[in-house]
Order: sequence, then structure tokens, then C-alpha cells
Amino acid sequence: MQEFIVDATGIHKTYDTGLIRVRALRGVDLRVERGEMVAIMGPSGCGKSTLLGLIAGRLHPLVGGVRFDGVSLSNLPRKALYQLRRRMGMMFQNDALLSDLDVFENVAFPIRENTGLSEPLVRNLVLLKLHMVGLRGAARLLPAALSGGMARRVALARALALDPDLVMYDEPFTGLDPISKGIIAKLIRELNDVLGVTSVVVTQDVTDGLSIADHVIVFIEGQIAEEGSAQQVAASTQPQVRQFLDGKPDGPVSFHYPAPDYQDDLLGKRR
Amino acid sequence: MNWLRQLGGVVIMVVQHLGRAGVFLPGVMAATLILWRRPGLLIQQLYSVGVMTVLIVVVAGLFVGMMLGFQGYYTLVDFGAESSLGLAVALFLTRELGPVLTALLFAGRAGSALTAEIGLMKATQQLEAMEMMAVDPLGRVIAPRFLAGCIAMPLLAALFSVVGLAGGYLVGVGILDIDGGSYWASMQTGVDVDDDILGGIIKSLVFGFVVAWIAVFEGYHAESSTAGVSRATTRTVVTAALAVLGLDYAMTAIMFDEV
Repeated sequence: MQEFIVDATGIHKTYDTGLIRVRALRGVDLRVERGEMVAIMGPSGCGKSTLLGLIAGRLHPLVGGVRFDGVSLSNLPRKALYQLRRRMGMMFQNDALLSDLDVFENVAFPIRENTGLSEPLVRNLVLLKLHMVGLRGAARLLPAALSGGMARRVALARALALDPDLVMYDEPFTGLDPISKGIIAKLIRELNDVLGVTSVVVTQDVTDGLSIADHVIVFIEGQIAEEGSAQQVAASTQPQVRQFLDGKPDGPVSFHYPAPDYQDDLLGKRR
Repeated sequence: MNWLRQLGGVVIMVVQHLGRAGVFLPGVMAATLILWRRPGLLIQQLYSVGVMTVLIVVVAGLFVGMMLGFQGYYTLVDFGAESSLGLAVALFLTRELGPVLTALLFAGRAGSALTAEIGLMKATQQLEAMEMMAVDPLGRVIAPRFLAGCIAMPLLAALFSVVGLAGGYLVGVGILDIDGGSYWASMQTGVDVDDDILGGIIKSLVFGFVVAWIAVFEGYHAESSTAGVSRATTRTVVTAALAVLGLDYAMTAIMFDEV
């Protein structure tokens, strides 16, 4: 058994937007130990979600390689990739619940599609998962009838449906009220400890990110700017990291998007 | 020379689009094999693609048949051939109007709905979530909708023609007072199964295939935004309508050539 469930080395990733080429990740090395909870934090557009896409095998690096439990994800045939994905769970930022299925069927979906389990067993498994997130009573509600916090919890139950080795959370706290945020943070931490899964949490939420993670990594402009325990990162003196942690509007990470000279623009010396 | 560059850009874009659609199709057709093991997925889509389109097809078919009854009568009566009204209505419907108008209605009702549904699933990351759950969206979402479109369209075209014949009868026999027996008898003697009925069936099969292909392709390749889904839905209706009319001309020319 590999010590690191995720092992990414020398990752470079760029996007071509048509107008400009964005360098999303610049030489990133990431190792995630089995059973660990890692929080990847940083401002918007710093490459956090791109990294999740690479770990899931949805994206491919320009340079470097990603290994999941010792298996390289580059040029992996679809069937083999899907075999690995049965060992991964993912909670999306906007929940991505299947809108025409109710809560029960959403959680049952990965079980039905990937296992040949009998209907009574599927039912019991789904009820177990829903009970874990406190929504057994909401099993027959449609996603449209759920509050933001409830939908996030259903997404969490679905991510855990196949008892994965690794669970990835993409911005799990975004758009939630303080109570729901607290519930999700508690659930993520408890499920990590109780089920023994490995968790990678991508978040901009400094307080919750630092409170639940064993290991914190701060990304700034596609590079790792700081990493360590929550205490170590919280005490960082790096100006860019401090600006992010303290929520300062301007600093090394500029408030303004790169633009031509302001005076030239106003006086009509346009391109 | 700017216009030449723009024209070149448009041509390259169209060719790229066609190329992507061509590459997409074999994957979808291969994915339809999964439906042998899971017919429930197909039946569900046959309901939403086919059954939900029945009403508009029946109403349109009735009105078109009634219109043909009037137009046919006033053309034939000058030659004293109004007893052949049944034949005229039947030939118009089975050879041309049945398959073509049903395909246009099908593109507007079911094709646009398919594109919007798949496009929204993409925009809300539902397709991505399926991939993360080790479920291939081509097999689970696209293939049942594509095959349902291919199956439903010829059946709807047949329904359109049948209802249209009844509409022609209502006007011809009920209002214009031609003989009911001659309405059906002229049809029985004049309509050829191979040349007329089979030609119409072939057309409706081709139209069903093309409209379903365009609808699922545009949905699957829609930009992940509300504007992107809206553009994809519009493209489905416009492209499918033009493809149906263009193919109808081509197939009619080929069929005439063979006759």
C-alpha cells in the first residue's frame, strides 16, 4: 500500500482562453498521506479547483504527473480511470445533484450504477448515508425543495456513497449560512475521522479551512506560497499569504486587473 | 481583405463543428448498446421525447389535412377530378408533408427540449458529477435520448399522416360533399407502397436520426452558461430545420431519379 494516496509532482497547467493564455499551476508538488485531511486555500483563480480536476483525472497537466494510490493518471484508458474513480468521491461547489431525481435516488445513483447490490441492500445503504448527514427524513424531497445547506449535505452523502478512499470537496462552505457552514465543517471532519477516508478540501474560507485541516496549503497565483499545520500557516509572515488570511483588499495581490495607463485611457489615447 | 478573413474564419468554424459532430456520433451509437441491458432508460425517454410530442403532431396533422382538403378540392374541381381528393391528400402527406412537417415540429418541441436539458445538466455540473461517479454520461444520458429520438420520429410522422388523412376526409366529405367511398378508393388504387409509403418512411427515419443527433450534440457541447444553453437551443432548431429541408430536397431528387 502506498504511503501517499495522491502524489503530484512538477505540475504545470495552462488554459487558453482565446484571448490570453492563463498559467493556472506553475510547478506544483503535492503529496497527500492516507487518512489525512488537507485544506487547499487561496484567493479565486489561484489554481485550487484545477488541482482537484487533475487529481480526479478530469484534467491533464501540461508538464508533470499525478498518481492516485501509485497509479499514474496520465493516458489512463477510460475504463481504468473509472475503476479508480469508484474509489474517489467528489462534492461539487454547486452540489451538482441530479435535478430529476429525489434525495434518495441521488444518493442511490452511484451505488446502483456501479454495484450489483440488491434493492433492499441499496435501500439500507442509502438510509445509512442519509442518516449520517441527518437527512434520512428528507429522502423523498426533490433537490429543488432543499435549502443550500441541505443540498450540500445530500451532495456529501452521495460523495460517500461508495465508501471512497479519497473525498474531494470543492468549496464546501461557499454560499452557506453560519449554521450550515458549521454543520458541514463538523461533518467533513467527523466523517474523515470515523470512516478513515482521506480528504482534500479546496476552500477560500480561512476560518473553517484552518479549523478542520491537519495540513494546510496556501496557493497564490498557481504556486504553493505556504504549507504546514494550521498553526504554522496562521503564523505565516509572507506578505501574499498574510493578505489572503487577513482579507486585505489590496497588497501584493493587486486589486486592479492589469490595465493600460489610467491617464492615457481617460484622455482618449486608446488602443 | 477583411471580409475574406472573416469568411475563412466562419468556414473553419463550421468545418470544426461538423468534425466534432462526426467524432461524437460513433461514441453515441456505441453507447446505445448499453440500452439492451437497461431498456428502462429508453422507455423513459420514449415517453418524454415521443409521447409528449403527440399532441402537437396530432393538432398540426389535423389542420394540415384539412387545409389540403380545401386546396386539393379547389384545384381538382376545375378538372372534374374532385373524386381523386383522397389520393392527392394521401400523396402530399405520405411523400412530403408528413415526414417534413413532423421533423420540423419534432425539432422545435423535442429537439430543443433535449438540447436545453442536456445543456443545463452540463452547466450545473451534473454530467461532470456522473463522470466522477464513474458513470459515462454518453451511455446514461445521451444514448437513450438519441435512440428515443430515432424511434419516435418515424412513428410521429406516421401519426401525422394518418390524422392528416382524417382531416382531409372531414373537409372533403363533411364540408365539400364529395363521395366518402371515392375518397378512400382513389387512395387505395393510387398510393404505391414502395414508391410513396416506403419513401416517406425512409425520409422520416433519416430526419429522426439527424434531428436527434443535432439535438444531443448541441446540448453536450453547449457552453456551460445560461447564454451558452440558449445559443445551443437556438442552433438545434435552426440547424435541424435547415438540415431537414436540405435532406428532403436531396432525397426527393434521388427518389424521383429512381422512378
